[in-house]
Formats: sequence, C-alpha cells, structure tokens
Amino acid sequence: MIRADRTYEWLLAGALAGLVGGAVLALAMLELGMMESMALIVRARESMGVGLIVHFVISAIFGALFAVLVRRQAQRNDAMVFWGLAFGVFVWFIDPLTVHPLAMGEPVTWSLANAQSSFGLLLGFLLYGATTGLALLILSRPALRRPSLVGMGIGAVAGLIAVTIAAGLLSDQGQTHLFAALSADAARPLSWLAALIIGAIAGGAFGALAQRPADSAGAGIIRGAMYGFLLWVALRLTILPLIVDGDLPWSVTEAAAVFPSLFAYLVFGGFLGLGYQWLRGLWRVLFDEADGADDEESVGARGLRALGRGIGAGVVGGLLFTYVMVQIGALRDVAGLMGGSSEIAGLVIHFVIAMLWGAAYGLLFRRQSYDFGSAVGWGVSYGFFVWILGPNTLMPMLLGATPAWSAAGASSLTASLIGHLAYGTGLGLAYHFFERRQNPWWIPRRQADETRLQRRRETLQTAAPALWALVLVVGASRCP
Amino acid sequence: MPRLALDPLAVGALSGAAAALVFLAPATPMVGFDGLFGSRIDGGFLAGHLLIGAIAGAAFARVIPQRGGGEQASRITLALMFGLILWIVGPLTIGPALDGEAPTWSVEAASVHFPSLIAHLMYGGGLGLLLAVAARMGAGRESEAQAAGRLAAQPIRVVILGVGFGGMRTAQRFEEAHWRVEGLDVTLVSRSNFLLFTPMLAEVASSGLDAQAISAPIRVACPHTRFRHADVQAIDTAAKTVTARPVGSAEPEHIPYDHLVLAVGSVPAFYGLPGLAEHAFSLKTLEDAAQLRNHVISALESAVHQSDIAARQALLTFVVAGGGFAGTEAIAELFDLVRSVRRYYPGIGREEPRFVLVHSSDRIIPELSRELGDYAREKLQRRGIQFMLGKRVAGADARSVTLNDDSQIPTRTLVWTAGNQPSPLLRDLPCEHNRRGQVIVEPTLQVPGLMNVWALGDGAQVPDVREAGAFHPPTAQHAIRQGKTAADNVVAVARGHPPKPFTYRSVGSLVALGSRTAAAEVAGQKFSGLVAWLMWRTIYFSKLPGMDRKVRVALDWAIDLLFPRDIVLLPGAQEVTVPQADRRDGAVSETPRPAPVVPQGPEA
Repeated sequence: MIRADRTYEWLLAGALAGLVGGAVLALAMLELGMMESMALIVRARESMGVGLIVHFVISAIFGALFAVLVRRQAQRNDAMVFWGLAFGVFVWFIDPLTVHPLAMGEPVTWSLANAQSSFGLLLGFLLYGATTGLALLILSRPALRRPSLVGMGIGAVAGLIAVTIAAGLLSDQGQTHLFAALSADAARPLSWLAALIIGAIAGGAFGALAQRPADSAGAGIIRGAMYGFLLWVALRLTILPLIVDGDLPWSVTEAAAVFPSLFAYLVFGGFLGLGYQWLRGLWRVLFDEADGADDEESVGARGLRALGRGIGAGVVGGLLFTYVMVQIGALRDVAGLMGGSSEIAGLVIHFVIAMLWGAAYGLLFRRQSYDFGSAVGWGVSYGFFVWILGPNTLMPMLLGATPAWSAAGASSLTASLIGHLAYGTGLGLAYHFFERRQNPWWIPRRQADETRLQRRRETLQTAAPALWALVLVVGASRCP
Repeated sequence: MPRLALDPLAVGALSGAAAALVFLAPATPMVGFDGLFGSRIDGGFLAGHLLIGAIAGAAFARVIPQRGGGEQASRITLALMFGLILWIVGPLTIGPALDGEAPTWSVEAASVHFPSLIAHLMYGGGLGLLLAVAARMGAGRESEAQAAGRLAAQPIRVVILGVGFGGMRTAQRFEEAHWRVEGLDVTLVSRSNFLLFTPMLAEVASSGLDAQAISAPIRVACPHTRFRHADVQAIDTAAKTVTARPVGSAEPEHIPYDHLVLAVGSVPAFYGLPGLAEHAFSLKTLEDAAQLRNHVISALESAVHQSDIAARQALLTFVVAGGGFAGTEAIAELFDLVRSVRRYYPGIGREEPRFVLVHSSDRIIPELSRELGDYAREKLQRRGIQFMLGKRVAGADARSVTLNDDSQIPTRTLVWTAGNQPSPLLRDLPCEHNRRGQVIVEPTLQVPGLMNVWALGDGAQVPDVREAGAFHPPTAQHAIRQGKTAADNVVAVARGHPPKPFTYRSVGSLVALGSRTAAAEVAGQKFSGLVAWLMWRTIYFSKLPGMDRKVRVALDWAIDLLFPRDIVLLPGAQEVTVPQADRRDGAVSETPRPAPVVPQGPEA
C-alpha cells in the first residue's frame, strides 16, 4: 500500500496510474490514427514506435501531476474518478490544444474549429483522466472493501427506476435506441430491453463504486450525474459502438447526432444518484440497527426549515434569472405554460417556478454547503440539472409538445442555460446565507459532527457544469 | 517545505495575476483572440488583464478559504468552475454591454467566444493549482494548529443568565452572527432548560394547550451555545465569576466570565400581603399554569358533591387579582375552561360559577387605549365576569380573599397577577437599583460601575433615548430586541468598538379575551373582536420558537375547535381543600397550598 507521506511513492504511483490511463487513450488514438503524429513532438519523423513512447512518457508525467494534486484525498475519497475527469479536460487544454502546437512550432489557436476537430481527443482525455483516477484509487487502496451485495442490489433497483425515466423521455422522442447505441431501425422492445439491462448493470456498478452513500440527496444527484456523464463517454460513445459497430464515433458530427443520449445519460445518472441515496436511506431505517440516524435532526424539523429557506433562496435566484429572461424576451414563453401571454403573467409564473425549484433545492441540498464556494458549486450544478429537466424536458411537455433533446434544441436554449446557471448561483449563495444565519452547522460541536463535516468538505464540489458546458458548446455548435 | 507568511488576499492576487499571465502568454500570437474579459489583447491591455486576473484571484481566495489538507482537489475543480462563471459574466455579458449591445448568450455568441472559454477555464484551473501549491507551502492560510491555538489562547467567555425571551435571543444572536470562530465562548445558565412562551401560558392553565407545546428546549433552539442546567446562587462581579449549583448536584461550581448578560426576568411580588404567598396562584411558570389548571378542575370535582351552599359557592368562585394583560387573559381563559367543561358536572348550574377580576385602577389593561380597555371589560362583563375596579387584594386565607375595603370574597381560587419584582439575584449586585429593584442600566444596556456586565428584560430599567426621562416597558417584545442589542454590543466592545444604544418602538399590543375575541392596537390602529383574535393567533403563532412547537400548538388549537377541553387531573395534582368549618360531606382537611416555587423564572 502506498503511503501518503512518501512523496516518491506517490509520484511513482501516479506515473503508473498515468500509464494505465495512457494505455486506454492509446487504444483510442490508434483507432483514430493519431499515434504516429505524436513523434513529431520530439522532432522525430512520424513513427508508431516513437509516437507510443512519447505518448506514454507524457501520460506518466501527467499521471504523476494528478497524483500530487489528489494526494491528500486518495486514501479516503471515492470521488477520485470524477476528479480524474476534470483533470482529463485540463490536460486536453494543456496538451493537444496548447503544448502540442507549441512543440510543433505551430500557432496556438483555441478556436472552436480546432476544438471541434479535437473532440475525439477530448473524449480520449476524459477517459484517460477517469482511468488514471481509478487506477490511482486502486493502487493507493489495495485493500478496497469488497463491494457490498446490498449496495449493488440497491444500485441495480435504482438504476432500473432511473433508466425507466431516462429511456421513457427518449421514447417520447422516438429515440429509445440511442440509449443502447442501437441503430435507428431497432425494434422498440429490443431498445427498451437493452436500456433496462444497461440501467441495471450500471446501477449495480454505481452501488459498488459508491461504497459510502453521499451525504445528502442533492450530493447524490450531482455524483450520479457525473457518473452518467462518465457512462456517456466510456459506455455510450466508446464501448457500445465498439461492440455494435466496431467503430469509434468520436467526431463532433457523430457526437452531435447522438446528442439526445447525453441528456438521457445525465438524467439517468441524476435519478440513479437520487434513487440510490433514498433507497439506501430506506434500507438503513428498515434493516440497519446500527444506523447513524441519531446524529441527524428529525425529518420534520429539518425538512420544513429547509423548505422555507429554499423558497426564499429560489426568489433570489429567480431575480438573477429575471435579468436574462428580460434580455432574451422569454417571459411570454413562460406565460404560455398557464395559457397566458402577458409578460406580467410570465414573471409571476417564472417566480413560482423559481420558488418550487428552490424548495426542492432546500430539501435536497440541506446542510451541504459550508462556505460560499461550496454553495456556488452545488447551486450551479443544480442549475445545470434544472436546465435539462426544465426548459429541455418539462416545459415542452407542459406546452403539449414532446421534448427534443437535439443538439439544435440545446443550442437554441444556450441563453436559458446561462440563466439557469445564474439562478443556481443565486440560489446556492442565498440558501447558504439563510442557513448559516440560523445554524452554522459546519462549526462542529462533537466528534461525530467533525467527521461528517470533513467528509462533506472532501465531497466533489464540482467542476461538472464546466465540463458539461464545454462539451455542449463544442458539440452543439455548428460545425465549420 | 518552506513556510510562506502571506495574506490570503495577496496569495490570491499573485496567483490570479500569474494564472492570467500563463493563459495570456500563449494566447498573444493568436489572431482574433479576445482575452480574459472579452477585450482585445494588445500591449496596453496586458496590464489590465493582469489587474483583473489579480482582483478575481484575490476575490476567489477571499471567498474560498484554502485549508489545504483533504480539500485540495475539490478546490481546484471549484476554481475551474469559477473560470466558467467569469467567462459567462465577462465576455458573454459585460462584453456586449460595454459595446452598447444587449447580451444574447446564444450559441453563436458562445462559439465566437470559444477561445475565451478555454482561456477562462485554464485561468480557473491555473488559479486553483497555484492556490493549492501556495496552501501546501503554508501561505495564505492559517494552519489548523494555529487556528486552534488562537481560539484556545484567548476565547471571550460570555455568560448569559436566564432563558427568558431576552436571554434566549441574546444566545441566538451570538449564534447567528458571531460564531464561535470569532473566539466567543457563550454559556447560558438557567434552572429551566426551556424557553417558556408566556403569551400562551394562560391557555395552558385553561387546558387549551399542552404544557410542552409552548416550551422550547434551549439545546434545540441554541445548538451552539454551552448550556448549564443550574441554579445561579451568586454573582461576584469583582472576581468575574458566577456561582451556580448544577441541578442534581450539591456542589456549586464557579463559572468565570469576561462578559455577563443578566436576563433573569422577574418573579411574582406579593408585597408582604398576608396569606398571598400561601394561598394565591401565580401565573409565571409552566408549573404555575399546570397547578392552576388542576386546581380549577379539582374545584369542579369537589363542588359537584358539596351540599353546603356557601362552600360550594366558594369552590365555584374564581378570583383574579390584577387587570393587566396577564390578569385579563387569565380570567377570560378560566371562564372558557369552566364553561367548556361544565356540562360534565351535571350538578353545577349554568349561573353558579362566579368569576371576579379585582383591579386597583378604574380601567383594565392600562397599556391599551381606554377605548379598547373598555371594550375588553364590556365584552367580559357581558359573559358574566364581575369587575371590582378601584380595589386591591389586601390578603387571603384558605376560605376567602380580603379586599382593601375589608370586604371579603369567599373563594378557593385566587390568581395573583398584580405584581412582579425583579429576580432576587439582582438585589445583591453592587450597582444602582430603582424603587422596584430593577438594575439601572445605560442606554447601551451596560450596568454602570460594573465592568462588562449587561442587563436587559424585566430586571433592567432601560432608558428610552428618544424621550428624556422615559423608560422602555418590561415586555417580551422589548426583551427580545434588547437581547439582540446586548449580543451585538458585547461583540462590539470585545473588538474595541463603541456599543450602540438600544432603540425600539413597540409595534403594538394584543390581548386575548377568550371565546374568539381579542383587542389589539397595532401601529396605532385599533382592532377588536374576531379580527383582533385572528391577529393575536397569527402573530403569536408566528413567534412561537421552533417548527415542532408550531405544529403542536396548531394541533391543540384544532382539537380545541372540535372537542371540549381536557378535564383529566394530572398525577401529582393538589386536591382542592375545604376548610374544617365548611365540611359537611367528609371533604379533606385544610392544608395550605405549597409555597410556589419561584426560581429565576422566565420573563413575562
């Protein structure tokens, strides 16, 4: 087992993990035919052998860097895989978009066209990061607890529920086949069956990976959505196409064609995280005698207060969102939800919706943020999720249309996304402000509180919206 | 590893500037690249970018404290998101606004500013990385050992005595705004471990509410305050210690303080009138209310089979002394209780129970306008409640109440609300007291002559700075606001700032008159009847501490709407006693009621 206080052991472990991640990336690069050009970095001629060596050296260096960054977390936190994802994106900025051109003596152009042509590499680096994180986790914790059968079973059940929701929404759009990467002419029952199998297996794997439930339902949702994103990259865009077609659809046009599956996987992940959290809680109450519920406030006391604060914070978030709504003239559209057409009616409905989502935030993210940074983190993540569920899904349904999770649909709602992120920021900040005024729970009084607090501080807080926004802009923009 | 002694703001600014430079440097040769906040890159703007990068970095470091340890990776990912937010705020929002255009946030705009998105995300990631490295080197953050040492070396010990409205609010204010991280160690000492919501106490006495519904546990209401369940025995202002005997222990303990907040409230004052301490019920504590309720029900039980007319009449006569808020509400509630349950005592006639309110002035509830006072009196008179105005209770024994004109009212039930006095604890304080025994304080609530001692609520005479020679009335409304002022002033003094005077103008007063009527004066407007009753219920309901208490009270009120009041005699109830001379049917012999327990009770 690697000891956190020995730097050289860490660097070595990181380099090893980087090599594992690099191997995954190498497979993708070979498939994309990009490995030979790696040799150009060291001013050699294009060659597979030199390219591989350069690639693995760089992978090992980045792996060591990653290990340094997560050194303090590694032995405790399951979120390593997700930090790996964020790190993968960061490396994508640094390596193919910046260092690579510089090393080749070419101008650095962070243009959209360049990013779109590097989309395959973005996916590759996401996989590289996730694999490196997972490898480091295993290396640093060789005595990983055996996944509990109960956890996996609960995960599978939650996965079935979540996939029913996500695939159901795809089904409304006639796109169920996209979930399992089947062809458009696949029979509907077959698509459903494949989706349910994927949901159950992915849910079980989530239960195995999430050895410890998240600290709140909200954290569960965000953790689940990140998992969904990872599944989309690793499973939907990589493994399934390789199995079904023997091909990697990693170009931006191909990714845009299967865009609805991105939302489906995010929704699947979010509901999987939520369902897993709730079912674990139910299991704990019913069957676990040694549960830690006596450290928690009773449901009535915490729920009602959280609801009130959430509604208040929803108004603050709604105010920020109003600026965007007015600028893009969307208030009339909102009024249409209740059959109205005036801006005043739209404003009223907008605030009612803001309060409802705020109330849900209060219940889901109670006692999750302990400073303004974490508050923004949770709020923005939530805002992103609301954007998928709200204007992309529920709003068209309430207006009597079917939701369209297409790249074009999403790109036409970019302004709404910005509004939702602003809403999430205001919501998270105001909620934290209200919560800390009355009960600064993060000031520990007892050892139990201290432990819980430390756990929450280590919870991923979260670059997820940054990743999703990036993928959206790259994927949803028109190709040059 | 070398330790850097740098302020978090400086570290943030340096890291921000460096991150801006790092992502600007490779960006410079680009054609059409727009920089950190959407402006074009040229030599002149470089300094501007560095400056904005530094400001953003400093803001990030200020808002997101770098603790190092196990949070490093999450902080870096958070910084990445910070970059995204800057991109949205900068090139997508402020940028167009500076050009005189409305921001569209469309995908086209996002595409145009895509290089800037990359730049901002890199800026965020770079900033997070640099801050993490700085934190590892010890710069810009206080180590946990340092933080613990600072707190342990000089915590400011604040001791609050009493858990009335004032004491509770003081503690809550410390929790709200001046957390323990500020170096405050707040201890609340009281014999009672709950706040009693006294405006609804009369309803407990009349069986309208359960006792628990109006009492909020301190440990729930103030989870971050140290609570000592103890009897305060003495205060030594020279040694700055409070001597208190923990409940259930014989050994007193000494609690040192740097600041002492006296919120001990008041206790009933019988002014040495004969027989009152033994025979009168007061209505200040939960125990008082429970005893009175049991006594009234017990009186009804005894009266049913009492054949002697005089004794029966005495059992069914209920006298309240004092026509202020408490007395008026008490007589109205007793009336409601007896009327609600009389049908279960078939031997008692409708006209038999007698209710008398004795008051020294010619009008009741002097705190309200004469108009509303008269309304209340007429309303109660119409129900059959008798008023003896301009008279005082001069004494009491087991059989009757004697008035100052030597007339007597045969009764077994006397409720005393005609006088309160500050807690005896304040009497021995080496400071100035007024005629009533209240501690005379400065407008800032400081006790003159006593270092860092503050007093508020019923026990303090607080001058009204807006009116020379006037004082704030001892009401819950004022005590709550005084609690906030006291907490703020303690912190101000501890930080070397001057304390602020207490100012507050009462919003209004409400008195419940039973049978869904009330009288209220709010913001100069007068209300009466059902409207005032609804106001009374709404306002006091909203003021109930804790959601669970609200639910309990709401349930009790709902039950009260549908069912008669409860007549269960609770275990330990004192049976009503009938004097020997009146005995006709074997009733128990005369014993005086146990002397009321009058600890430092919650404030009215």
